[in-house]
Amino acid sequence: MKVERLRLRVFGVLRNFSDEDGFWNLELEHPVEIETGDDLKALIGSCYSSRNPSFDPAILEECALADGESILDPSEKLGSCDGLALLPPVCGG
Amino acid sequence: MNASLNRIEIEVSDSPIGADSICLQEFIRPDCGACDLFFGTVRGRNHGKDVVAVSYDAFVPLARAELRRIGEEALGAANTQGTVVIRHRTGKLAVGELSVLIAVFTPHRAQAFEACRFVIEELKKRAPIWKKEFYRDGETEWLKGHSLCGGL
Repeated sequence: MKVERLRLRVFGVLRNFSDEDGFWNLELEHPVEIETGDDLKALIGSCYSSRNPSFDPAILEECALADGESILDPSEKLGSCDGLALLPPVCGG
Repeated sequence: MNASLNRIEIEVSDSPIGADSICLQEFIRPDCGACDLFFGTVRGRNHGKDVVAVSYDAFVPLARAELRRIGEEALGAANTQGTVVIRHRTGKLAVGELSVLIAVFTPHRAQAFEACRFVIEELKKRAPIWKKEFYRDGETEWLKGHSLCGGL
């Protein structure tokens, strides 16, 4: 297992829960190799909801993880935690 | 079609968009005889509630990249070359303010209409932009939208 500090940018409805403006600061304990799909989102949800009981981690089921260039493929192994963002369903226009 | 002849201009910012904020002359080109313009504005009523303002949140670097892809795809879908300009606001807007501007320049009008429609429909489904409505009764709500879990 590996313990990692994660500074996650959040948007939209997730801002209602952000520690500071637009960020979640988490300390995650995860397997050395973890995919960026459901497993990581479940860890993030569990970690955040333990700190903030009003947060329902089910909201993360429809959220995507991204970096500044693209949405991460859920089967992709987590590399660097730098610059990660958690994106709820979108509704621009 | 030669995609290298395409020009895509993207802006996602808190700078106001005015009906006069696009200088059409800057984008007119000799191979394009049509321009289709679309403006989105903040509507004062949604789902039976009086809206007084809307706040747009965006993951700007990814929004810019995705809007650029949408612009390229729009011209491809219309089987044409041309120019696509997309501007989207961030920040808090009052009812009636312009939230999005799309301008498409193509050789013929049917292509411009098709590509412009493509851009706004895909933008709503794919651009990492979020909308929070402020209602007259003091309530606020982040609107539900399209999940990006399937990838972009």
